[in-house]
Amino acid sequence: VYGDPNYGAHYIAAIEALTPDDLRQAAAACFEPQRANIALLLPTGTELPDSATVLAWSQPEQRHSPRHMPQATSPIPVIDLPGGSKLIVQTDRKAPLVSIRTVLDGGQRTAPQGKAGLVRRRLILALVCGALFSASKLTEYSGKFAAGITPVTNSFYSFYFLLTFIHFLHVLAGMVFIAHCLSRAGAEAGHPGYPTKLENTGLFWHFVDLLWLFLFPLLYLAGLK
Amino acid sequence: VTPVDRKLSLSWLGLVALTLMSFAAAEGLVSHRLALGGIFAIAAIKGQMVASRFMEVGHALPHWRALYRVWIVAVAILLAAGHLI
Repeated sequence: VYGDPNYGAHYIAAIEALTPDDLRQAAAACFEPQRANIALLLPTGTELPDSATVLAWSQPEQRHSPRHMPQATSPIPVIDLPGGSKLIVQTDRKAPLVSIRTVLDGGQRTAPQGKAGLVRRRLILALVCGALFSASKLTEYSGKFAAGITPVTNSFYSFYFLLTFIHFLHVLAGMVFIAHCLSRAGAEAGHPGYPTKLENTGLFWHFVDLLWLFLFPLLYLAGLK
Repeated sequence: VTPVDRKLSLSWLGLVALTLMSFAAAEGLVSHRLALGGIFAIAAIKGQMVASRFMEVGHALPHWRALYRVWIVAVAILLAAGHLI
């Protein structure tokens, strides 16, 4: 499958819009009689027609006469398959091949459609997790300050406060993005931009998570012993 | 519950289990150097899980997968080396 996924739709519309006059115009522009090359495929032993007869075949009034025009074919059939795909059948008499193009709706782009409730529940769960993390950070900081530990206590705590606080700010930013997605879940469900918004928020959130996976052993585990 | 949900839930449980293991290592169940190597190795495994499952890097093009893997392993090695050397 390649090219424009809506090719089938445009193709049929364009073919159906064509009139015999369009074809005559195109033929008049493209096929000039003086440029014609005539090839004859004849059974062996057939008597060759004289050149006057052959030339007469190439005359415009002959070529454009209705009996030389291809018969109008029936409309191109479009069959709706059970899975939601469309099967478009085109005849190409030049080649003994069948060409099939399929377009499927799939992936994240269509997933949240009609699932606003599910999306909303999961965003709330993410917000609750973010709030729990924030609460644990604030408890931790207040405990440190109460014990007289500040960013200037020593170089470990300088790094500890700096790294965890910058990470914490990113968690808060992620929660703002999640809250925004949550507030738009109803209004924008099924809107083409909404899944992109969700994807970007999810990527940001998990990247902040990924950073924490390294900050946690660095600041909390490696120094324990 | 879809198969994707089940897979993500299992990944999350795996992440929790790995975190507990790194806690156990840090709390002195093994020697100091082994513990340091262990907790950063566990961090790298967790990072790889989050990237491939939750950030869908597992479905990305091979060079993106390689880029994330190299980044995670490089960070883990740097942090471990910083403590061990």
